[in-house]
Order: sequence, then C-alpha cells, then structure tokens
Amino acid sequence: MEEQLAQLAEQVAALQASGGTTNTVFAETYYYLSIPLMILIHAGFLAYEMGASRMKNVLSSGVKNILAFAFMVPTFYYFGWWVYWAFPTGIPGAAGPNGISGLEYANAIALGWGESAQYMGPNIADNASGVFWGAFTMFAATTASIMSGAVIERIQTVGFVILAIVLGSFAWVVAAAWGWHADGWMVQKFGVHDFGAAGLVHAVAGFFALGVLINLGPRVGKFNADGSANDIAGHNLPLTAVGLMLIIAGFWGFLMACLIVPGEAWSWFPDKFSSIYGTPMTLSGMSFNILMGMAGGTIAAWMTTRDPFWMMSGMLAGIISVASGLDIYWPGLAFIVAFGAGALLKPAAAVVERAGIDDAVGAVTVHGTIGVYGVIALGVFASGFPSLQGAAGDAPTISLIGQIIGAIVFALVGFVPGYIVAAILKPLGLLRVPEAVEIQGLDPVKVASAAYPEGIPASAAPAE
Amino acid sequence: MGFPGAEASWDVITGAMYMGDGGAMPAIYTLISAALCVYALWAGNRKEHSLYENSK
Repeated sequence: MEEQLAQLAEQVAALQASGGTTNTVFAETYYYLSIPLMILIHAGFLAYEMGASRMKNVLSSGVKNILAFAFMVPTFYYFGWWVYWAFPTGIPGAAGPNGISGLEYANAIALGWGESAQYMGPNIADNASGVFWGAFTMFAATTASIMSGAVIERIQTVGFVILAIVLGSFAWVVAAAWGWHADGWMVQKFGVHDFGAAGLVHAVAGFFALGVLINLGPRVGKFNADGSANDIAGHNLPLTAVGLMLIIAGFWGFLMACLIVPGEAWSWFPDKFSSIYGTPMTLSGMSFNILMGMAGGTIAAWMTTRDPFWMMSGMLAGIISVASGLDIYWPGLAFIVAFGAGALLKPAAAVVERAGIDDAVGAVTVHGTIGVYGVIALGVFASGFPSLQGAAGDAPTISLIGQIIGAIVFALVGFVPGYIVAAILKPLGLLRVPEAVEIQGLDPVKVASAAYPEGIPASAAPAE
Repeated sequence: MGFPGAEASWDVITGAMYMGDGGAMPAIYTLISAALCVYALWAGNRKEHSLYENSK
C-alpha cells in the first residue's frame, strides 16, 4: 500500500512538473510571438511614411524609419527598461507597495552589468526577462515611429534619431512607469486605467510630435502667405493604405503583449489572464472590442471624408480610442466610442493645420488627440471599476477625474520633452535640412540609391 | 571569458549561461556597444552635413 502511495505521489509530482513546463513554455512563446507581430507595425510605418512622401524623399523617409527601429533596441536595453522599473512611484524611485519597483529593484534586474546581468542575457532558469524586454522594446519602437511620420521630408536624420531615442527609450517609459504599472503613482492615487496604452503610448507620442513640429516648422510650400494650407500629396496612396493595414495587423501583437499570462511565478493569477495592472481579463473579450473599435472608426471616417487615407486612419483611431478599456468595454459601446473618434479625425486635423502646424500624416490627431479622447472616454463610461486588485474600498477605482488627470499627464510627458529637445537641436543645426536640399529633394542629396530608377510609367491614354 | 561553469559540461549550468558570466566582460561589452551607438550618431551627423555642403 505504501509503495503504491509513493508511486502515486511520484506520478503526481511528474504531472505537476510537466504541467509547469508546458505553462512556462507557453508563456515564453506567447510573448516571443508578439515580437514579430509587432514588427509588422514597423513594416506598416515604413510603407505608410514612404507612400506619404513625395518621390524625391521616399527613401530618406524610409532610412529614418529603419534607424528609429535600430536605435531603439540598444537604447532601450541600456536604460529604457531600467527607467520602467525604477520610477513607478515617481522620482527619486522609492519602492512601491507591490515590491516590483524602485531604484533598488531596477538595479537588481534591468542593467546590463553586475549581478542584474543574469536577467539581461541567456539564462537557462529565466524564460521571461528577454521576451518581456523584447515586447517592451517593440512598444518603444512603435512610440518612436508614431512621431516619425509627422516630421517627414524636412528633418535631419541624426536629429530625428536623437528625438526618437528621447521619446522611445525615455518619455513614454516614464509615462508607462507612472500609469501602466501596478505600483505606478497615477494608478495607485487616481485609479488611472489605460490597458492598451491609448494615453501612455499614443497620446505621449502624438504630443511629443507636436512639440517637435512647432520647432521644426512646415515643409516648403505647405502654407501660403495668407496662412492658407496647400495639400502636399504623397506619391503613393495605395502604399500608405497598405502600410496602415499592416499597422492594424501588428496591433494584435501589441495588444496581446499587454496581457499577463496566468500560471507563472510572476503572473497575477494561476488560472486566468490579467491586464498589466493585475485586473482579470480575457483575450476573447478583447477581441470583441478591438474589432468593433476598428469598424466604428473606419465607418465614421468613411462617412465624414470618403477618403481611403482617412478611412484607414479611422481604423487606427478606432482601436486607439477604445484601447484604454479593451478589457472591459461592451462591444456596442466600443463601436460608438470608436465611431466618435473616426468622426473627430478630420476636424481635429483641420485645427492643427489652421494653427500652422504641418503634420504630414496626421499623427498629432490620430495618436495625440484620439489618445487623449480614449483615456477620458473610459472615465466617462467605466467609473467605479476597480483599477487594481484588492478588497472593495482598498483598491482605487476608475473615475472621470482620474482619467482626465491621466490624459493631461500623458500629454505633458510627451509634449514637454519633445518641445525642449527639438528647441535644443534647432540652434545646434541638427533639426532641419537646408532649404535648398529640401527643395531639391532629400534622396538625391543623401541616399545612396534611387527609389524608382526607371521611373513610374503613367497609365496609357485611352484609345480614341 | 570562456565557459561560465567550473567544468566544461552543461550539467553544471543552472542559471546564467552567457560568455563572461560572473566577470567584468559583460559590462565592458555593454559599454563598448553603447559607445559604438554614440560614434555612429556622431559620424552619421558629420557625413550628413558634408552631403548638405556638397550639394550647394
């Protein structure tokens, strides 16, 4: 009898170990696969911005986009990841109530030297750090790419890369530490909820772009002497539309990486997915809302513009507008909120243009304005939802005031560094290309290859 | 440098398994890679401005 019990105990232990291994491998694979999906976002931004550029600037826009991605990876390794874990409670980086933040914690897990190096390189006992870092690095690169489109056709390459590093490896990371971390002061004090990063990625990036654009100035020929604006059409709208669709596809990777999988030592639950705040949710529920958001934004943009560029931007805006609450929106309500975002696009872009800002792809509107709109909309509809785990009365709850505070902080965390760094680069001669180069075209001056060496033949004339 | 275990067998590896574990080299490599990024920006900016000058 005792022997049988011992055998049974052995079998149970083996099953538990096997189940644990399966779960660990699932978790690791889940985040690993989110990385190539998010690289689709960058393929999309590349196509989008090159299509939105005139033929004389196509490759220069592409070079800028590729470099933003390349520089984001090492800089996020050197300090971006550390910033996320160091400053959730604010500066000077005290430890938070969950014990997963603060300078000491960040020094222990997020530096590429000393004892913490074991979590920043190959480690047979650590299946999580690299894939988490990789996913966050893709968030960083996405944030930098959002700014990239707004400034095409007149920004210097290296000046742009410096701005991208400040945005992607610092500014949005500060916003994430404050508002996208269970120890974040905005979450703990004000119950800010931004599950899918409408504010901490999109609003931060959109308003960072605005700060840069004010210093950078409009493209030559964008505005007339009387202040009226000219449309500077890109050379390939189909490429831009396909790029936007690739961004939409990549968003599924972005959003899946916003969840915490169950069953691991670092998970919030043994048996269910959660948001990054530790609140329960499902991929299934999120799928309803992403799709309904996409549809709402697209349909509204079609109704108000009839323009495929704005329709695709409407699809993106639809997702962004409901991103804060993808875990808890009712799908019908997600459609309505996204519909509002799609309808808001064109008038909001017109306001930016009337202010003399030349935002070549509408990034300030699609990401900045709609990001803020989405964060606040959640406060309107989801007040009273707990924004963290805990007994009723202990856990902070979502509120309109909290979401408005969150939206303001996110916008400022973007705008202020964008404006200041661009204002520093400008007198140093690192911000804008010389006017003669801009008129001639950036590609012939500084790109070693030609986008269309054989030209693009026009359609044949119709037969008489 | 070399294998991080006391003997050349994977049986002794239970944690970090990268080259230079436990020594100063990971920090040095990290520092050198960061310096390369800074140099790339400096040199890239120089080249970019020389191209602007040459286009006049």
